[in-house]
Amino acid sequence: MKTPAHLYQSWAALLLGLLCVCSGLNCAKGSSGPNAVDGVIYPEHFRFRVTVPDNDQQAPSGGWRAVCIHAQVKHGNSDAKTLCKFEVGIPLRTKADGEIPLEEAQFAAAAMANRAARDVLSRAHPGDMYSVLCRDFINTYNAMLDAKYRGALVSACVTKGIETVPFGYKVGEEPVP
Amino acid sequence: MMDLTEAGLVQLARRFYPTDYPVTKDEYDSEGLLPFQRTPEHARYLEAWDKAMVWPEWKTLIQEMHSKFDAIADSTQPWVTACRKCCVYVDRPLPNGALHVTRVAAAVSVLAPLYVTYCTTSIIVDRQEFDTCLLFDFPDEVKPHAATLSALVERILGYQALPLQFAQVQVLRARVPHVRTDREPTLLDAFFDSMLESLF
Repeated sequence: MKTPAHLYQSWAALLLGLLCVCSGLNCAKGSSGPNAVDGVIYPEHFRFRVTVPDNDQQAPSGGWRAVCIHAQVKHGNSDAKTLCKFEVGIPLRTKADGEIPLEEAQFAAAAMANRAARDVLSRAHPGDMYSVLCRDFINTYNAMLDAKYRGALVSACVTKGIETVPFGYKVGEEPVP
Repeated sequence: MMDLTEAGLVQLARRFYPTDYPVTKDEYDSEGLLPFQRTPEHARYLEAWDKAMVWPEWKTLIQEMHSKFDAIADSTQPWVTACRKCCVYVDRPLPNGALHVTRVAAAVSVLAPLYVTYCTTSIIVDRQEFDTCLLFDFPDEVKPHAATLSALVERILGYQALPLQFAQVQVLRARVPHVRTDREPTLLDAFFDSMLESLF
């Protein structure tokens, strides 16, 4: 399925909205082309849940936490919407970093999401399928996060029992709270 | 013991990954699932992980690794790959505070009684890790570690090694979610991971 032009704009707006995170987390608004864009993903969106406890203090590394983000964009007052669901997993402790505090993991997850979005957007074309753009975003984000924290992983949402966090906003009218 | 043939392994992998569900056909349904996530193959995959997360023998393996090696860890990334991973750390200090780290690892499939051993080498400087290499041929200094780790996996879990000549056999058109590009998945991907070097 090809992405209709207005959905492409919405997707692009989502990615640009994420850019706000990178510019210091104070930015709450962004815009792309003719569309007004509101929305930002904050570290607080990354409500990680521990799925493997770090209870082996003899080990140099261990533990796992994950969260599933549902990023949805609505276009104006129409029913059209795009969706990209992704799971972010980050170890609790790594050989290189030692313990990774929750707040640090959340900030890095948000900042990297922003950078990945910018990277994907720079390669996107109006005819691209949004499912492919979503996968490209996940892949780019994964590479960046793994470079920051060895072992960190971004994927489709699959893990049971973790929190699902909706991240949504509208393009062209008031943002969704 | 499993009868390891190329055709048999491909057939087994297909029990957990549906065929002909490409990313280009992805569209969330009313319940928010992608088409491949509604298949019996994916249900089997999730069921396998449910069992792997409450696996008493895995805990035994980690405990026995502690008794055999100075530094070991469980490096499992649950549900998002097809294996549990553990590794032995062998450090060598370098000038200027850098550290050369060799991880001798076992990836243990949650889908079949199969494992692979391998190692990674990397450099850590100021909390940054780089120059990571993945090797299936062990450097001489860690060959004993690899042999001991293999023996533990086989004795405690009852698993057998995937012969490496099968590793790159393709499972054509199977949807293996942790293979992130458009290439065809291999048996190594399907039973284990596409990023085995991703050890923490």
